[in-house]
Amino acid sequence: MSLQLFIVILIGIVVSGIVIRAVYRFFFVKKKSGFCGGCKGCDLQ
Amino acid sequence: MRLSELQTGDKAFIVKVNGSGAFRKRILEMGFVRGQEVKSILNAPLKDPIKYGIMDYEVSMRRSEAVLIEISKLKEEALYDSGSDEIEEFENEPPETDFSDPSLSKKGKVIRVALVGNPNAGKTSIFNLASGAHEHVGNYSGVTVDSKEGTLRHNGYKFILTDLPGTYSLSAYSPEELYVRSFILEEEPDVIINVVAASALERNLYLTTELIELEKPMVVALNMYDELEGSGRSLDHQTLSEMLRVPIVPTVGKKGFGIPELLENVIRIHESGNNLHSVNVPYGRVLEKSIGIMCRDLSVNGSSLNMPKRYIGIKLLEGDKEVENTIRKFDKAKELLARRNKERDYIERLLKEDPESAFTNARYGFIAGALKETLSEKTKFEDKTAVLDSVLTNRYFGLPLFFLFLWIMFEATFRIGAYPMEWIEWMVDEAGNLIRGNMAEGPLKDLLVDGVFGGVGGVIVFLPNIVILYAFIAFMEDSGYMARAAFIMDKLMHNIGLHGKSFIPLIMGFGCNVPAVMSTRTIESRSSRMITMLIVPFMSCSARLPVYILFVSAFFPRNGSFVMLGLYSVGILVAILTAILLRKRFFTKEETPFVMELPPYRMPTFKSVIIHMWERAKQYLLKMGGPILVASIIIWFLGYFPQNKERESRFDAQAAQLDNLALPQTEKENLMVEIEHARNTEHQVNSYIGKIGHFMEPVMRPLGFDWKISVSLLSGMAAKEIVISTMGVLYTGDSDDQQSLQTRLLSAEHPDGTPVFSPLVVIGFLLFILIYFPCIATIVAIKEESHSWRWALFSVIYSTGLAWIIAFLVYQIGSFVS
Repeated sequence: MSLQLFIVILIGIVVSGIVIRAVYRFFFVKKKSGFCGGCKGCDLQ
Repeated sequence: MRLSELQTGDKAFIVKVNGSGAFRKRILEMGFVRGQEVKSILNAPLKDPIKYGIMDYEVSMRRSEAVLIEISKLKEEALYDSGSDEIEEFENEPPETDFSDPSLSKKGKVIRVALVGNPNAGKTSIFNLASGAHEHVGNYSGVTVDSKEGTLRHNGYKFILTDLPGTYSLSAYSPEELYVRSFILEEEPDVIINVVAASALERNLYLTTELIELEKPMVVALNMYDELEGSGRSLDHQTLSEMLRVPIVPTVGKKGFGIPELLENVIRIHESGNNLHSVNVPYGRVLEKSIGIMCRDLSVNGSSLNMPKRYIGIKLLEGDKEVENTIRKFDKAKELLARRNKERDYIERLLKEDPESAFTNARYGFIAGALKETLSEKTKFEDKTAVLDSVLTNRYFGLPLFFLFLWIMFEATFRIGAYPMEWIEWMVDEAGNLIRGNMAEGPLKDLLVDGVFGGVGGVIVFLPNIVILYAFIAFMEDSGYMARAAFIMDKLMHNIGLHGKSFIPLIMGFGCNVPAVMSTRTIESRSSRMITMLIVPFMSCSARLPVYILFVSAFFPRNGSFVMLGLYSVGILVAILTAILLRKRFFTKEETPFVMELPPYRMPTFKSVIIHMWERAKQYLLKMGGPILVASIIIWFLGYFPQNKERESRFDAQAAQLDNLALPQTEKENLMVEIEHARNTEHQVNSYIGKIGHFMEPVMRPLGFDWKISVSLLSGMAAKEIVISTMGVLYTGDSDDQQSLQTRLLSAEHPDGTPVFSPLVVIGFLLFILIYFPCIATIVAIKEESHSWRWALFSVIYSTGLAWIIAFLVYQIGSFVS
């Protein structure tokens, strides 16, 4: 295997890791929600 | 007489505020209380809303709202019939509290501080200066929509600062009021810094009186003190501090003046513990009697709330629903509420006004009394805001000037940005050529040249345009013109079922849709907020700008600014039509009040504009190094693999055959280019990305789009800049030299030799880019803000469907006509 191909494969593995992490965070990590948007506290809602 | 009948330039006094609910409460809290002088300053270009001056600040209000406020030209008449409840001023002698007493024992080295204050009082400026953060600031209400935390060290103490959204009071009527109150009560910061705008002291101190009632350790930052001095006024803040029994420190947040003193006072208050005797705002005989009864009943019922009894009593009498709901959990809630109702009737009968107004009037009475003794009269009346407003919000010039400003913004972005763009383009080309010329053939070289330089290099050239666009947006935000834009546009917005306040997120959307969606939180009504956040994606964000500039400068170089302005206008038109549709179909009933503070014009400092531009440039560059780089590499991988050795050797054989032929050199070179072109085309068609593109092509073919455009649009779902980086990877061109993407797109051809980018395809493509959803981050923001995946999905399906239909109509009708 050529050195260039080896480096390209390594880059591919790193990029795959980044994408999988991003997908995981998108679907499974819950963000702390802000103060508004859903509460029924104020009568303007 | 009604406020709406007051002629421009005339003054009158408030008699009574009619109406109900949040509007009435907000109006009262903003200082529209009995006896207060109000002046009608000017009408918006379309005659509605109207700008009024009250308590040294300006507020805009629609005629339909102004009609609810009763006024009188005579002050005596305004004060007549107000009951005989004289407020006994400062009945409690202030105890000797020395805030600078060094003997107070040290409590701890970490101090949690909450910044609380009216909107646009300068909390974030102080926060940024103290903590070294670069949170977004602007000269209009509601810039901060969520709490932000920062830390700093001073005199051996660690301060954990929390910057809270601006609020006029601590009532339970709007989300920010509820949020700030619950933060103070539940998070229990060690010290509150109440940021007060010195230029509108009377109104700002209203919140201070409410905070005093919470009996929390507090320091008042008298911010923008230079503006108070600039108006020729002087404030005896020492005396005011003694009256309120709260340390008051003059500050100028933008320049850092007074911040060390402010922090010193925070330390002293923290060290002194909770032993400070806070002042009781005197409410007068009738109200005090009712408060006393409520406090006694609360003591009997053993209230265990984390609020002072006096505060609970006042809030119950005011009809605060949040406190009422908490009280309902008590054993003897029924008795308590029955007593409360009785006391409310008693107040109404004796004072001839509802308890809510009575408490607000009393608080403003207390503030007026305190300021009478400490604040001198205005001596300088040089009012640049009035002069600027007479032109910028003029009945005839207001709207044309606003559109002229937008045109100048796009012209500058397009024309001035073209010069640095050329320099960066040259640098990218040279760097690409360096690798092409000096690196051995192989996949890594292809990845660097076609993936990294072709993809990221194609996007990075637009950095100057983005920075210029943000300089204009920063100027608009920092000068106070943003609020005027909302004021000018209110009437038009009203016609589509929204109000002027919705216009601010829409303008912000020109920068980035994500903060624009988040800023819809400042809109009080849920349905208006929902409509606004669903139409924000049609505001063409800066991520779409590179695509426009690329295509407009390549295919419409002469009329670039007009084409761009046209695109932005189409976006606004689609947003308007969508808003009408949503209002008619999903969010039918509701009339939203429009009460918005109009800040004084302030000249943005060079530093603040540079910070805005730098922050944006940094974000753009981080995006280049992050998602855009990753996307470019992925697209390159999908386009590079699978490799087919058989096909490659076939083309190699053809090339070798050509080498052996006895042909003139030029003819040989031309044939070689054809062979390489065929090799590239066949490779791309058979690559993974080619297969995805061809799978999509039947859907996109009716729009005139080839598979490469289709793939670019698909990858653009992550972020719009990726459209360009994908095109940069896919449209490789046939030249041995690094060529600009613009050149490669201009020379892109179908197999039959016709250009890929005909004018109709370019127009359809640009409209598709404009209308289909901007990026996944915006969709997530819509989901977060609407608390519903349903509306986020609606946004995706609606915008993509609409983009397809419009691009289809452009291509098919255009082809039919031509």
